[in-house]
Order: sequence, then structure tokens, then C-alpha cells
Amino acid sequence: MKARSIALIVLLFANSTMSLFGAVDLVTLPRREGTQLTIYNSEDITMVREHRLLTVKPGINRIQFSWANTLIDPTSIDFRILDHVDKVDLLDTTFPSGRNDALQWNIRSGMAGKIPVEIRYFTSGITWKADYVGIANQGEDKMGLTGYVRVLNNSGELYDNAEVRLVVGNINLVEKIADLASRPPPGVPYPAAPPAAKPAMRRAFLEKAESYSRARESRMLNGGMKQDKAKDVRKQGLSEYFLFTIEGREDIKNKEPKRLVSMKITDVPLAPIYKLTDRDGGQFFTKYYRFKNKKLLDDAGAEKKLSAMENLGESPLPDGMVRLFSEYDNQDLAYVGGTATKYVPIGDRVEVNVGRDSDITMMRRLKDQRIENVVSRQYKRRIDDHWVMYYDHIDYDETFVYEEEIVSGKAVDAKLEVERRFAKDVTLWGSEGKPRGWDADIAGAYVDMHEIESRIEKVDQNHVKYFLDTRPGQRWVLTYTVTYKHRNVGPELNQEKRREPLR
Amino acid sequence: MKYASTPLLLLMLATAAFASVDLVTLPTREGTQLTIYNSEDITMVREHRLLTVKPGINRIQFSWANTLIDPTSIDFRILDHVDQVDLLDTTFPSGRNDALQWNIRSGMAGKIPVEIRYFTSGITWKADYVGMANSDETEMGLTGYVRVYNNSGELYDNAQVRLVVGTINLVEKIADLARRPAPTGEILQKFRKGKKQALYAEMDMLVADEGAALFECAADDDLDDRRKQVKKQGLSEYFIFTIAGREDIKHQEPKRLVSMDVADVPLTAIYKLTDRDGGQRFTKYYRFKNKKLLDKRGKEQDLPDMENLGVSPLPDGMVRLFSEYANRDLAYVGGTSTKYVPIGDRVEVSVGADTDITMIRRVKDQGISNVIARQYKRRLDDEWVLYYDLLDYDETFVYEEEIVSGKPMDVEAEIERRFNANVILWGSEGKPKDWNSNEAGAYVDLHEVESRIEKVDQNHVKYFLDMKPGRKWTVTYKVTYKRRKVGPELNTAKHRESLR
Amino acid sequence: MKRIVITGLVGALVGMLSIPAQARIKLTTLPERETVRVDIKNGRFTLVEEERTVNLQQGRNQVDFSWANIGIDKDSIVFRVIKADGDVNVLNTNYPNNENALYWTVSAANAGPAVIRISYLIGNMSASASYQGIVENDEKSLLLQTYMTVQNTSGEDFGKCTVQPGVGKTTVRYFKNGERKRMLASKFTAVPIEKRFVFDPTVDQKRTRMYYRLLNDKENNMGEFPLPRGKVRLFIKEPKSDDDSVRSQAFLGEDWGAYTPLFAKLDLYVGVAQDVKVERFTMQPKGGPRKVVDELTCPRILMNGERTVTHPRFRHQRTRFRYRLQNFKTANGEPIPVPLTIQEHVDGEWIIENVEMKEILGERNDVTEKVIPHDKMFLAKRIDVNNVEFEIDLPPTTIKKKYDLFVTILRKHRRHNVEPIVYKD
Repeated sequence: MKARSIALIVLLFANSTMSLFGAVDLVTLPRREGTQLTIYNSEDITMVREHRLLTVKPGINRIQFSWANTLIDPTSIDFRILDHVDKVDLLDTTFPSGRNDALQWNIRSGMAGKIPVEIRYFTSGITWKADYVGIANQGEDKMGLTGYVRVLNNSGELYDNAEVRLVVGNINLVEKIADLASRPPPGVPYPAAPPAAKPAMRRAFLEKAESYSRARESRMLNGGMKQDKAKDVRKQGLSEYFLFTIEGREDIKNKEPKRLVSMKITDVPLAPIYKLTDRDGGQFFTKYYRFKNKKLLDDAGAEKKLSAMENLGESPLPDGMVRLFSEYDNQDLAYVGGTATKYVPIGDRVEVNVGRDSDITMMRRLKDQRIENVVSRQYKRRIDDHWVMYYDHIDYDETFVYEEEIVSGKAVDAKLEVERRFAKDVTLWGSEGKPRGWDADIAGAYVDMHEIESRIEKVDQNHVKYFLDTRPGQRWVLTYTVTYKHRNVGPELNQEKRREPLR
Repeated sequence: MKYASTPLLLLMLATAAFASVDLVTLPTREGTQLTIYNSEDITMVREHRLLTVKPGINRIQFSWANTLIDPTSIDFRILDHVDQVDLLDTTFPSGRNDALQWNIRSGMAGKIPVEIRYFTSGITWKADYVGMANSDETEMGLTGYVRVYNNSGELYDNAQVRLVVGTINLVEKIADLARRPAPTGEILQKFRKGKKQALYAEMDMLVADEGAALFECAADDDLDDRRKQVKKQGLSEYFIFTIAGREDIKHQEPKRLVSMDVADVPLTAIYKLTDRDGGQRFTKYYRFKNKKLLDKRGKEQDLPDMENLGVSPLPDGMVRLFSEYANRDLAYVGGTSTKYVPIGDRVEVSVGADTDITMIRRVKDQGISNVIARQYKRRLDDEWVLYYDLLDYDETFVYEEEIVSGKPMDVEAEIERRFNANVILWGSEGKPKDWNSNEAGAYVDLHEVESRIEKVDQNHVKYFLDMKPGRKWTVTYKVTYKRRKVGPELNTAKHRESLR
Repeated sequence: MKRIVITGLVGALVGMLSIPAQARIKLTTLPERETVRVDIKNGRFTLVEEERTVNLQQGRNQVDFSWANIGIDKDSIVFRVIKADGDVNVLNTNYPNNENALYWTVSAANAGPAVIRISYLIGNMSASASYQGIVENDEKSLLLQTYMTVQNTSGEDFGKCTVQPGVGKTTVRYFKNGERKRMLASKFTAVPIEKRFVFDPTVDQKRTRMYYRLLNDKENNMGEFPLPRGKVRLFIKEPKSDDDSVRSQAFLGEDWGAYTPLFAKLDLYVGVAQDVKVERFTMQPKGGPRKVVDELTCPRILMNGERTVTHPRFRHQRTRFRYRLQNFKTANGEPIPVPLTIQEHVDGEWIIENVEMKEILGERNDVTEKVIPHDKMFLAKRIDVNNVEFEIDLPPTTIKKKYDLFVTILRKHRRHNVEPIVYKD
């Protein structure tokens, strides 16, 4: 699609009573004075605001707006007159028959001259994604983190020189914009009148647009020889969302993704942690990088004075792909892994999955097992309204002795977490001593980990965690036992099948 | 068939990585050693060559088109001037699987000795034996042969030949590795494949023919049975036979050599009958020991290794046995394959079925006793139980085995019988404690047999007879199978009784 | 032909203005790669790092990076400035439609050369390990060499580059597409060997296998890194012979070496130990058929609190094996004892209930059996509930002297169906 596909044509009516498609005079073809894109990443929706200067003549002015081959939602197109509101009025909006890619606004003007207008609509096809590159140092205690936003434009339209704003957060959309855009004519009725104008905001918008234009012109005069900093990204909270505004203007070309730096932070305190859990098989350790989305502190513990671009804790981190490298002292890189991360609120901890780690190994052996304390107990069961039946169930204790051999092949100290699952409700004899219910005659998994020199954490009814801090080349051999107290286990023994009347 | 097959060694002095190269020398083999394995199709070839190198980077190309060399096995060792000459890397060019380049950095000019070592397939060896027993089967002359086959597509001239006795572990076949196409040379390889497959088919035919010929020609040794010293040496779990001197191992020209020639090996014949192979006929075995021969006073004889046993294990192979009458007429007794025999162990060579010793087995009597029916009940559904009977009874068989030896000399016989339940044995060691037990099982009473009775496993029992010529042995034994809880159900009166 | 092309473009105007893609400014520099490093993490990814010097103009520069025939993960490309005079910043990255290319907008504080490093992930490079072990003649130790074979099917011809295939690091002068290179990656000298004779009836009913056991730790002169999986070929040094100027090495056998973490053992099946014979027979328990199972009793507590006794659904099962052991192994013509390991595979709860070693003398009708003390020559080692190993120091045997090892395993608490209840009347 080469030609620009959104066209705005102003038609001047010679006679206001003439039929809609009678002879018209083409007056001006105003260009965009400023464009603002607000791109959402949770849904395929982008709000476009265009400012144009219309040249109007007194009387009825007909303005045609068409958007062939784009993904604009026709129901969302909104027209607002920003100045001379007392002299210029929008009379109506007309959708011509048989077309879904054009409309006409009829304006009555009491003056001749230029008036600023804003056209706002939703389009689909423009999305953005965040991604990150983290480069950890050799000791894996510090990381340089660069955040990127990548804007993809498949809307069929070129937005040049646009202010780009990105919304982090989930919005609710009842209909997909892409569906609305491709809906055949006749279109759905145009929505109710636009929300009340906010002249202050409009003015600000205009002023800003003009200041950018001025800045651009001055830079052009300098021949572009001025040193550019990486672009600043302003981050502000807005209800449940966060709005990232990228400094300056960008050309958002169709089908040409653009990647911009959204943050660039050095020396983020980092802690690698290695986890093994029965929730995903319990065979291998997975490495995670942990850091906090909090403002960086200096050595004295005071918050560093950094620009928003160069600090954490200024905004949530949008979800996106993270690629992690580690950098040797000679600046060689090693690729550590890539993973997707979720939205991280301000102040929260980020845990990035770096992937399976084969340097730390776990060998788990079932060393022994035994059955003890077998007791048969007689029970009775009511069969119907008249009879009871007698039968036996048995109780027994089944003990398993496990040995876990953990070896760290890391060149540095490493923190490990091992989580084990037991198939019954756990009674734990861990770091806090023998529990009171240890000798109880109640069904459950009685886990004896008290010989493991670690704090033992009971995660939930079935999961228990322990923690190890290993030195390079260290080997641990841990032994623990679990006794499953089975109670009231069938199938029935001694079913004498004697029925006895209820008494 | 002619092959342009000799592995070529080209030495190039590389000026730039892919600039024109100067061919410097094409050194010939200074010496070749073949170490041939018989358990797997693998031969280790060692070549010594003298390379002329110049200071700087020397590129040496080695190619082996139309051979069965495993490219992953090719190894290059610099034997001298190790401090001045370095192997930098080994490069396999793109799309080819029959050439490689070694990049060598040399700090000197001159000749350096190098060793190239690789595995090839297509060369095998086999052992075979000819035994000639005297007429009363007490002594035997034993000749061992080794036979080397070369279907590798390569001539190894003037090579030292070594044969390995033992079973090595090989996780991938060398022939497969040799045929495996280069990673990116698919089209090239498809083109060649037809030719190679024809070659393999031909090889297989040849080996088959050899085997057949071997069987037919039996003892008439029209092959070149040259006497060469064969040195035998233990190495880890294997033995290496080194053939003295040098040999030309030509493509598709089998070579047969005597590996040992031992006279007067003490021999015994033993006759075995077992239910494991039907239990109808005796099979004759020759037994001799792989031990150093003793003289009359029981001292070890002073014999050269080639003429003695117990010096090395006997590799597995085909054995053909003849018996020599007093008038030196030969009789072909049989041919069989033998397994590997360690030093000190006994060889037992099956000579084949023997009809001179006969066995007739009769069931003389059988009876059922102690029949007892026991009532059991079973729950059928939620309301009914079924009552039924199962039977216990003892079933006794009395066997008589009549064994007659038609041999002119004393013979040793072994009889192994199988019983279809777990055996409780009353044998040479007296009545067992459980003899009157009420458990199911085969209660075998062999105590009247005048022999030691050996319980082999849960089901097999063996006894031994030393038989005089023409004597008839009658062995009687009894087995009582105690059957317990035997169905089908009796007294399934089909009446159902309500639970209670 | 270089397939990765990097182009530096200097923007004369640019600024915030939009420049149409077609009107890209003239190409000014085409810098050569200076150093290249290829880091192969097998089966996962390959990282390529290249360093180039780009001549930057003050202000905005457009640096083009394009490639052909090579699978570069576009999203993985990292651009780093290693050395430059003054600040150099990447303003944005642009991905032209349908092209294997991207361009960075780079701003430089000063004009002049800047050393940049571009790192990216590619596919289709692989490395595999193989090992060569040279065993001393006494089989007490070996020299273990790790070789890495690297295959370049990336589509790219590399010139001089450093290749890091997981283990070791080698600089090669060229590495063309399609080539494989084998290089020595590490060398462990004097690694002690434990030679083991193993009989495992689930693996081979008839033959005993000879294994070497190596330990990947510092005490055993290894422990530098986890050993990657690869084929291990073992050669043994032969005694020096007269007619061979260089000591011969015979091929001993090969095995797949499993991935071996630090401290872990590496077991290599070398070949069949034909001189050590084990035969296994299943025998009846010593006490006869009544001892096949042990019926169990347990307390029974009735509804009224009365305690009686009943049979639970468990019982113990007894298995007895006989192993006929023969050892014809010799060294220098003399019979020698061997360390034999018999492996059995059990499950659940079990104990070794009884062990008996018998010496069998004589043959046929002249056999005498003698129970001999076994505590010095026998050790049962529980590996885990599924594996038990019997370690036996097996003395030499002859045709007339053999050993029979009897082992009774009691498998406890096995479930069984309740037998029909005999009707008592």
C-alpha cells in the first residue's frame, strides 16, 4: 500500500440545499498538523488523534473523510472543533450509501479562515510489545537491564511524525476493532455525541504540537549534527493503567517494526537462585534471576538520584520477552536464556526463569522402605433400613527412606531451593523440632526432615521446601524419611457377610 | 574388482587458507600393523609414515575413497619432535566423508615420523580346529588355525598381523560409520550408494562361499597351512595373537595360518542325556582341558607355546573331529562350533548324537491316592454365596530307565531329568525333612539310584553313571506330584445361599 | 564471500524528519569483522560475537546489518559499543519489511572510529563430544582426552575465529560452511580406574562384563566440568615389544559415556570378561515349599474392643538364587582372584535374609560340598530399593574346585488376593 489512504477533503457547498452528492468545490486538503498514537498492548486497539487545520468559508462546508484499505473502526470516528466553537458548528455526520470507508461532516461556519480540528478514531493493527535484554556480570550479582518497546504497524497506514504513547494494562473491549473495521456497510449508527470538550487539554495539545514543530525546524537548521541522548520515556500512572509516552516524534511505518529503548539501567542488584520442585517433575534445577522493581540504592542505602529512564521502581514492567546474557570480564558474552516475564508492579520482585541448569545435579534415591504396625479393625456399615454388616479394614504405616545427593558444579556460591511433594497431608518434623502430633494415630504423611541442616518450610498441605547454600564443588547427601500412616484401608477383610438387624 | 582405494596422504603447505597449495610430498607407508578382532567387524590399522614438513602451517590431506574406514576413528599422532610440531585441528571438508585435513604447525623443516591410526571394517578372522582322536578316545592331536579374510577394499602389504581373542563392546558398527554420509553431502552420497551396496552384497556372498568351502574341504588341507610362530599375549580381558613376520593381506584373498599344533592331548568322552533337548538320546562330548600338558609323572611338559595348551584361551570357532583307527584310517566323527575356552577351563565339544548307548524309559506304574475334597465358598454377588469343592490328591509315577552301553570301553554318562513342579528330592543325601509335607510339589525319590544325585535347580535333577562295556543298567525312581486345590470345581451344586 | 554484511550509513540530515526507506543515504563504510567468537551450547543455541570498527560521524548514523543464508534470531541481536571516543547511543532499531536486515540509528558525540560488538544467536551449529582413553598396561589408570567435533551447517563461512564448543576453546584459521572440525578440548592424566567384573542377569544371562569405573572428581584427577555425553574409545598400552619402535596400543572397546556430573561415576562397559563365569539358578528356599511365603498375622480389634488375631493382605515372599562361580583369570600365567559384582533388581521392601557360600570340590559322583565362611569375601550393597549388588572377591577356580553362592531374598509385605475362606463346620 503505497498511497496514503486516509484522505480528508473539504467541499464547499455553493448552495446549502443542494443534494448531498451534487457538484461540489474542492477547497483544501489539509495535512496533519500533529498525530498522537496511544497503543494498547493487551488488546488490538490504538487510539489515533489527528490535528488538522481546516480552511472554512462562511456557510455550509462539507468535509469528506475516507480511509480505504485501513483497519479503522468507522463507529469510532469522532470530529471535534477545537477553536471558534461559537462560530463553527458540526451539523451532522453522513455515511454515504454503499461505502464503509468514507464519511462526510457538514459544518456550518460563521467565518472564513482556519480552524483547528481534532479527528479521533480507533484503529487496529498497531501493537507494541516490551522486551528486555539483561546482561549480568561474571559474578552474577549485578545486571545491566535494557528495556525496549517494539511498535509494530500492520494497520495499512503510515503515521509519520507521531507522538507515541503506550498503555500498560488490560482494558475491556466488547467488540474487536479489527472486526468493526472490516464490517460491511451499512455501518452501525454513529455513536452519541462526543464527550464534553476539554479546552485546556486541547490547548496544551496544540501548544505541544507547535513546540515540537518549532524544535524540529530548529534542528533541521542545525543539520541534525546535534548529539542525541537516548530518547526519554515519560511514565505516568493512569487509573489501573500506566501510560508510557515516548519523547519526540517517530515515524510509524506500515510493516516496519521499530524498537525503542524504554529504560536503560546499570548495576541492578541481582541474585541467582536455583529451584527444584516436584511440581514440574523434580528432576532438574531451574535457574532464576531475581531482582526488584524498586528504586536503586547507593552504597549507603540511600536512593540514587537517577533519571526515570535509568531507574527501576518508576513504573511497572510490562510483560515481555527477556533475554539474558552474562558478560565475562573480557566483555565476552554468554547467552544464558530467554523467557517470558509477567507484568511486574512497582516494588515487586521479578523472578526470571533462565532455564534448566545442568551444573547443579540432584540424584534422589529411594534407599529403603518398610511396612509396620499392621492392625486390622472391625467396622460395621449400615446396608439398608434393617441391617448392618461387619467387615475389617487395616491400618498400617509405610515408611520410605530417601537420599538426595546434590552436587554444585558452579564456580560460585549458589542458593538452592528444593520443594518436595508428598501424597498425603504432611505432618512435618523439621527445623522447629518434633511436632506435637508426631505420634498421632491419624492418617497422613509424617515427614521427618529434622536431620537436614536447613530451615524446613511447609508450603501447603502437601509441599515441603528446604534451602541450601552451596559452595563451589560442594556435595550434599541428605537423608529424610516419610511415613505414610494408612488408616482404614480396604478392600475389606473378614467380610463375614453376616447381616445383623439394626438395634 | 579394482579400487582406487589406497588412503592417500597429501601434504600441502598452505600459504593462505584457501589459496593455491603446494603439494610437497606423498609419503609412503613405512610400516603397517593390523589388529583384527573376531567378535565384531573391526580392525585397527596403524600406519607409520615420514612426513616432510616446512616451518609454518602444513596442511595434510588424507583421503580414503571406496574403503570401509570409520572417519570418526582416524587419529593422528606425531611420534617425534613433539615439542616443535603441533596438530592444530582436524577438519572434515564439506560434503565429503572420505577425506580430511590435518593442520599442523611446525617449528622446523625436515622429516617427522607420524602414526595414523583408524578402524576399518571388512577384515575379519576366525579360528577353526581339527582334532584327531586315537582309536580308544584317550588322546587327541589338536591343530588350531586362524583364517584372515579381507573384504575391506584395501590391500595391506607387508603388514604385521595381530588377532584379538575376546569380545569387545562396540556401540556402533564400524561398517555403518564408514557408510554414514557426510552431514551435508546427501546428493553425492545417493549417487555412490548403489555402487557400495553392490560391493557389500558381493562381500557377503564371498564370506558365505568361504564358509561353505570350509565345511566341505574338511581336513584335506589344500590351503596354505604355513607354519609361522604365533605369539600369544594376554591384555586386559583379551588375548592378542601376533603372527611373526610380515604378511600381505590382499583384498578377497583369505589366508589361513596354523596357530597351534598340539599332540597327545588327554581326552575323555562323556555321554549326556537331558530333558532340555528331548531326553531321548545321548549326545557324545569330547572333554579336554585347556591346561599345560603333563608328562607321565604329572609334571608340566617343556613344550613351545605353539605345541602346548593352557598358554592362551581357545578362541571360539568350528571344530572338526576325526577318529583315527589303529591302521591310521580316519573316520569323521563330527563337526561343531565351540565357545571360547579360558585357560584352565575344560572344553566340551559336542560330537553329535550317539546311538551306541541307548536309553529306554518306561512308566512302570502310576497311581492316585489321598484324594480329599474340600469345600470352599465364594461370594457371587451382594446376596449370595456359592459353595464348591476343590480336590487334593497325590499322583505317583514310577519310572524305569534302562541304559545299555554298546561301547567297547568304560564310559561316563550323565542323565538330567525335568519335573513339572518344584522338586523335593530324596537323593544321595537322605530323606529330606519335608518329605511328608502337605504342600504341592514334585516329591522325587531317587534314593535307590546308586549315584550321587544333584539338584540343578527347582525343576532339574541329575544323576551320573560309570558304565562298563555291554552292561545293562536299570534305574528305578518315583515321583509323587502332590496336587492341591485342583479344579474344575466339583459339587458346584449351583444352589445359591443367601449371605448370612 | 562474506554473507553477513554490515554497513555504516551516516545520516547527513535525519533529525526527527521522516526519511523514506528507499532514500537511504549512501553507504560509507563496510567494516571487516575483526574478531569472531562462536560459542556453541549444544542442542540449544549458538552465540556468535563479532567485533568491528565503524567510522562514525558526529550526530546521527545509520548502521545497517544484513545477512543471507544464515538463520539469525533477529530478536536476539545485541549491539554493544566496546570502545569509542565519547558517548555513542543507539536511538532505535528498525526492521525493514521482508528483509534479513535491520538498521540501527546511532548517535555519536564525536566523529571517529568506534569498536562495536554485535552478538546474536544462530541455528544449525552443533558440537559433540567423544573421548579417547589410553589405559596403562596395568589397567590402574588412564589418560582421558576429550575431543569436540564441531559441525558448521550455519550457512556462514567463518574466517579465523575462536570456537567454544562447551568444553575447551580453540582458535581455528578458517571454518567454512559444511565443515566439521575435531579438536582436543581437554586432557586428564593418570585418572584412576576401578576395574569391575559385573554379572547382571537382566542384561546378559550368560556372560560377565568388564567395566571401568571412573570418578569425576578432583581426587581422581578429573572434576573440572561435568563430562558431556559421548562415545568413549579405550586403547591399552601394550608391553613394549622388540620390533616396534613405538609402543603399540590395542583397542579395548568402546561405550557411550553418559553425561557425568561432578562427583558422579562413569561406568564404561569395555568388553566381555570371558574368563569369569557366572551361572544363575532359581532354587527352592532352604526350608522347602512351605518357606516360599511367610504368612503374617496382625492384631484384630473388634467392634467391642476385644483383641484377636487375623491375616492381613500382606505376606513375605522368599526367593533363593544359586550362583555357580568360576574364575579362570590369569596374570602372567598365574591364576588371580577377581572382584566380581552380581547385580540383582528387586523392588519394594526386602532384606537379604541369608547368604551361604559353598566350595564344591570334585566332579560327578565324587563331589564334596563345604560351607565356607563368606564374611571376608562377600558384601551385599543396597544401592536403592530397586538395586542390590553382591560384591565377591572371587578366588581362582579350577575344573575341580568351584564356588556356589546361595542368596535368599525375602521380599516383604507383598499384597495377595485373599484365599477362599475354608468353611468350618
